[in-house]
Amino acid sequence: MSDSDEKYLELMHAEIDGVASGTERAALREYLGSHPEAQIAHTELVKLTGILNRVEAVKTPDDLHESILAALPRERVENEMGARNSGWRFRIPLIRYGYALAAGILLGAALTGVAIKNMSPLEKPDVYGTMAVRETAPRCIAVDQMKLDRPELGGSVELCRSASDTMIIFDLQGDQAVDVEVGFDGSQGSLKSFDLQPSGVASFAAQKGTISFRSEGKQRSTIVLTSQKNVVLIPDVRMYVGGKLMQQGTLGARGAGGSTK
Amino acid sequence: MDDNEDLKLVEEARQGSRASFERLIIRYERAIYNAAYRMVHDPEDAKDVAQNVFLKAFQNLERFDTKHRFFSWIYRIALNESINLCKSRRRFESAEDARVEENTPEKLLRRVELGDGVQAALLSLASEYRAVIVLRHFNDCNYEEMSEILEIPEKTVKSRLFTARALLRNVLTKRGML
Repeated sequence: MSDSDEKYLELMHAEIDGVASGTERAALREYLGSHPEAQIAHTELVKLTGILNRVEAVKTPDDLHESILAALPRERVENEMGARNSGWRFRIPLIRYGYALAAGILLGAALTGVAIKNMSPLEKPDVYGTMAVRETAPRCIAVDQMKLDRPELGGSVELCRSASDTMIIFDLQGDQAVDVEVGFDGSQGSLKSFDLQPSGVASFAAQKGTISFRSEGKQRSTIVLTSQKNVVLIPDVRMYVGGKLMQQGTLGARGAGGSTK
Repeated sequence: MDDNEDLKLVEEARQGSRASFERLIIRYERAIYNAAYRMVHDPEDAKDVAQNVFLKAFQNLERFDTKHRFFSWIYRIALNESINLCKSRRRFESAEDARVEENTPEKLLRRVELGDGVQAALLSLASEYRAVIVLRHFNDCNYEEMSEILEIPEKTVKSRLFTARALLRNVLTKRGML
């Protein structure tokens, strides 16, 4: 996609979001008039927005307000009412998941014979956290690594595995943008999550068996694939700089070492 | 919503006024529930998230930085809570079933009851993409507000929103809704 195309793609979204100026809208109309493929994309975007706008608001439960109040600690309530020495009492709304999860972990430990002490701790909600998705594959073991030592492409790619997750970590250290393609058997696994730090995804696409994204300079990207238990996914990784294939390799194909070209 | 009024209510709540905190709840409970529902797609879970959001806000009111907007703060808590709940649920389901299902968009679509194709399509998106769609289209947040809530630059908000729309369009197209 050319810079011009990208500019107009951005304008399409700006128009949809109501932040395009009159001049920008006029320029967009003119561009769409001479670019049929862009016209199709624009029409689809307008349709998508129309569908989203027609979605009805969710009906709020009648007892929502009362249940929120009931979940608050009693101390401050009783302070206002003049009561004393109430102590802190909490109703933890997610407790049923806590019990269920604990039961699940115990069951899992019993079935697999894995000691509980080795299990990863549950993630705790962080009030001040960011939206960065903190994916931690339980008992993820590094099984392969690809070193990148070209002038245009430095850093490493690491493959980790747990029982059902395959994690590919791209720690790219070059200054240039890198287009990454990851191929795998789409009938055996699928994308579970994608994270890029510092955040800022220039482009990202996922199809069955293929994931592609652009890493801008020094970034750490993590792809987590999920599969049926005991299915081993063998990802094929290709990295391009300036449209030129710089590195290609298969990760995890031979136990501790993949093949690299 | 009036940000100054919010800050006044926060200050009063910090001084111990439960009535002021309850007014903050009244202001935002529907929006928070709505956002949570779009993220987790379960009425009970969304209610749990809403409860947790206000509980955490209540407990951490002293730590709220009044340079920011109150609604940005609680939206951020709501999204984090929703994402963590989804992860907890996914792990529980995995442990309970002793098998892991493929989370393909097609399977996620089939899991959802009839009549809510958009919600089903939303569920097939990664949480970071779902969050921008929810904030923009269901909570009517602008780029600046989304940037503050998600703690990412506006430029990133835009690129994430564009990608999210493209992903959502693909899923809806596959489903014959576009």
